[in-house]
Amino acid sequence: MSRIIVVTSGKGGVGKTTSSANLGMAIAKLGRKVVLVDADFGLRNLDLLLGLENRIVYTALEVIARECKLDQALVKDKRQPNLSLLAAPQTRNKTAITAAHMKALVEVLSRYFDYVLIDCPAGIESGFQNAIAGAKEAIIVTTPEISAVRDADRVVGLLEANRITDIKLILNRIRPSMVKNNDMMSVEDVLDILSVKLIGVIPDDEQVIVSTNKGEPLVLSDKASLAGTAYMNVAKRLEGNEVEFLQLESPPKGIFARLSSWISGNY
Amino acid sequence: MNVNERNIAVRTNPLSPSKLQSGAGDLSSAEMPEVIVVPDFQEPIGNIPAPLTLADVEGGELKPIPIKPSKQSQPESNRDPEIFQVRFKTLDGKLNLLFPNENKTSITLDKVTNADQAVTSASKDGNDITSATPFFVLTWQELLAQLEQRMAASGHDWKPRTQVYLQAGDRLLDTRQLQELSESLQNHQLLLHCVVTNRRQTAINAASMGFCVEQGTIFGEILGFNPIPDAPLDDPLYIKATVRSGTEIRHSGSIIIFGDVNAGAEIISEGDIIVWGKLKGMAHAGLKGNAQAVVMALHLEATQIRIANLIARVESPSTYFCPEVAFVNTQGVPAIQIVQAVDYSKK
Repeated sequence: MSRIIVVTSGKGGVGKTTSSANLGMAIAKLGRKVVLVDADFGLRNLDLLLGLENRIVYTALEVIARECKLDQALVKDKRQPNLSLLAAPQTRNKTAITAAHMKALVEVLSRYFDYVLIDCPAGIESGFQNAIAGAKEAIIVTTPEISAVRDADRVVGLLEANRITDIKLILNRIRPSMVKNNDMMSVEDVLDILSVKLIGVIPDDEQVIVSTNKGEPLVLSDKASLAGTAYMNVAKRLEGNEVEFLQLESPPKGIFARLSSWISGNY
Repeated sequence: MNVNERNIAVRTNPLSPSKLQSGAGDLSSAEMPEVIVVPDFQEPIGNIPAPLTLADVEGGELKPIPIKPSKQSQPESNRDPEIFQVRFKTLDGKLNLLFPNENKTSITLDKVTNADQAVTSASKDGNDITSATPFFVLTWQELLAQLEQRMAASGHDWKPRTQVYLQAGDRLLDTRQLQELSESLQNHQLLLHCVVTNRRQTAINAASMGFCVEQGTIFGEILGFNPIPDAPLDDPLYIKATVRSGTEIRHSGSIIIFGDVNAGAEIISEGDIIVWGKLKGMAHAGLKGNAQAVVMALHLEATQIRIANLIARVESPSTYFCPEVAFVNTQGVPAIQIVQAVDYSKK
């Protein structure tokens, strides 16, 4: 039985697409067949993060309009053959398709893949409604900010109203040092409000920006990064494995490191 | 007109083709976009005509804010706020399902579809647009979603395979909608048994799908209209769920919530509000002016508390966990006060 999971957040800019790309790649690395569906019609980004932009010929819209076959529109990642991408059209907007189209599309995809990951657009309007139409599970991405958490709360309510009750949470962009100083909401604070199952905590990592601009998901690079490891762990947990949460507390710095960071101004 | 109290919507009229040709880049022919004031969604507080006399509580943690009775509410003061929500109501042993009044939703639907047209024509005629129906649209999908939330929150209230009487009233329902509704109810072990309607087409559709059909309109009794101000309250509504941001629960009786009420949610009751959990959203008890109503919660962190026609914002939420009660202290100037539950019972 394949799993159809929508990655959503309500608020924009919290890392939905980054999480989708990395999770998709991580699950594919674990040997599962994954298709990433970009449901952000008109504002597609997923192909950029995966570095597949120049290989897109057909998009979901052509598939829905029956102008091409499904496998023609699926872009297989050469670095990780288990991963495919179904891109969103860039030239149309969210009104181009309906929830019924989307539902039919993911149902067909679920016959050929173990995982269908849907990257949802920000907001709770028609684009969101379309994206969640076929989903059976949801992953909520949020950052430890009051506005992001509030929106996530609203989205959880909407998902439940649409009979998606299997909801998991990724807390993105957390800074342990700020949490320690009570300058940032902690994991517990966020869980206290949202009361959904936590599946991953992703630390704020500069490598994310680098990998986004390079079009190479973090989990793919040989160099281990904290965020990349965290995403890999999320994938393992999705697969049903018990994985300890990363110890995000930064190790005590040596005198030189502390001195140099003090000079450069980011202690 | 006090602009602060209203939403201001700016609509630009689409340029006519002739203007596009002649006036491209010509600033002199540019027109100021029309600014139209759209009436706010009817606040329930506006329904209370009672004169208000309020003063700040000195040294207390609560500062009451006087509520201005809204002018536009006067002609429509008999409108029941319940009309905006999906409701279940047991009457004579029958479980009735009520949908929000379609008249209002359909009017606003028309408004939205011809929004530009409607708005511009109204302003051209010089009519006061504030007399129009408030912007409130509930699509069929939203209605189903609301029903789903409602059932998820209190599905345990009913025995499995309870028969449901749908009070459709004037609402036109096609077979697809009836099918979706029936499936939705079945997911919560409820059976759509009978459709009560006064629309011929709905009756035919329902009959063709094998449901019982009854002719008739929705009785005021079922709707829960309270024309008499002192009419007894409805049975309490028991909700077992986390009430999340954006959710609004209205009931013409007391509301009991077993779960948290998150910030951004609104609980509006004609009676008391009891939250067995954290109350972080907005709570309004004693909607129709009952100052005896109370709001109590295991942890009172509400952004705002309203009782009858009083509003208070909680300045400093308690840092310790302790059940608290908010009530109207009538000694002196009426004001909302919060005390610990143990102290409240001593009063």
